[in-house]
Amino acid sequence: MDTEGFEAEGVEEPEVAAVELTALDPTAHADRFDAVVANVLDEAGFELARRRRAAIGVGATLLRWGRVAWPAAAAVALASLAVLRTDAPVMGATPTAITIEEEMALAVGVPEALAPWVSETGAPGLGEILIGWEEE
Amino acid sequence: MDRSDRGSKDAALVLRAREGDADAFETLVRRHYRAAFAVARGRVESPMDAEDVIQDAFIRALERLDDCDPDRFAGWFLTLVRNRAHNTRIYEGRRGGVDPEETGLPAPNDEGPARDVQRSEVRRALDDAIRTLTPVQREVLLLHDMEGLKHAEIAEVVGVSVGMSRYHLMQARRKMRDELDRDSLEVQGHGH
Repeated sequence: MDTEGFEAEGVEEPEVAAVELTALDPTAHADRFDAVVANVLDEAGFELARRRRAAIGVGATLLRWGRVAWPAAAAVALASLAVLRTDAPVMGATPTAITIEEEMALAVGVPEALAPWVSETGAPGLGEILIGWEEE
Repeated sequence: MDRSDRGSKDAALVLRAREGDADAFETLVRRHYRAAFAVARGRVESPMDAEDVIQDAFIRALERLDDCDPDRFAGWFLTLVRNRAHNTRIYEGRRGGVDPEETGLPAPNDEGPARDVQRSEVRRALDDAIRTLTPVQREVLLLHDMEGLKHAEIAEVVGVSVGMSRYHLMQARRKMRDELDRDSLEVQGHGH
């Protein structure tokens, strides 16, 4: 098979006129094509529904996690801000007694060393946020 | 619309179809049906079998949509069609070939029976002619002259060089013309 001329760049192939192929085009007749597409969609219905359910499931899981994680993150952020705005005690000081607020701060992930300072500074809204979180 | 536009539109549709969006999936089906037909028809003998292959391929594609790079949907999907068509061809071979009268779904009848007969004759002649081509010639011919792809795109889809795509197109057109001329001479011969 001599294809050398076709492989070379800029070489024009001998022109052979195209044959009219519209009669073979499966999309040329709208009604018929619509029926074929409807058939594909009908067969795909189960898989599409499964994917919709899965997508909703992922969304619901994220929402559920969000309801717990957002208040906790907000509490930690507020606590950290409160610490930065006050004259914080020396790091590593051991508290003599653990208050309820300290326990709650520890429960949402405030580092142990910061917990007593959070309770002392009384971070704004911390109690409400934590109570809201506990009720979830 | 150039290839990158088509690719980015496909990517958005694929992402929506992954979440079960039926409209997005339908748009993908409509956008890629003709190219899929060209690829399938290259491998199987009858248009009906090609349509079965495509429908099956779309369902498989939807099931495996998470494996697809959304930016490369077209190439991924046409490979899937080619593989399905190849398997069907093997099955056809074992079954003993197809009925030569099997020329596709009935034509629409909204333009009158005489027009339908004429169209169905044209289609039969084209089908007979296209059966004389090799699989790669069929595929290149339909992708170029029916789907309107350029040689560079065909080369990527079919897995040949641009030069070979040109060569196959020229051979396919020449063979089609010879077959159609012969067919029309036979029809004229029968008419006299």
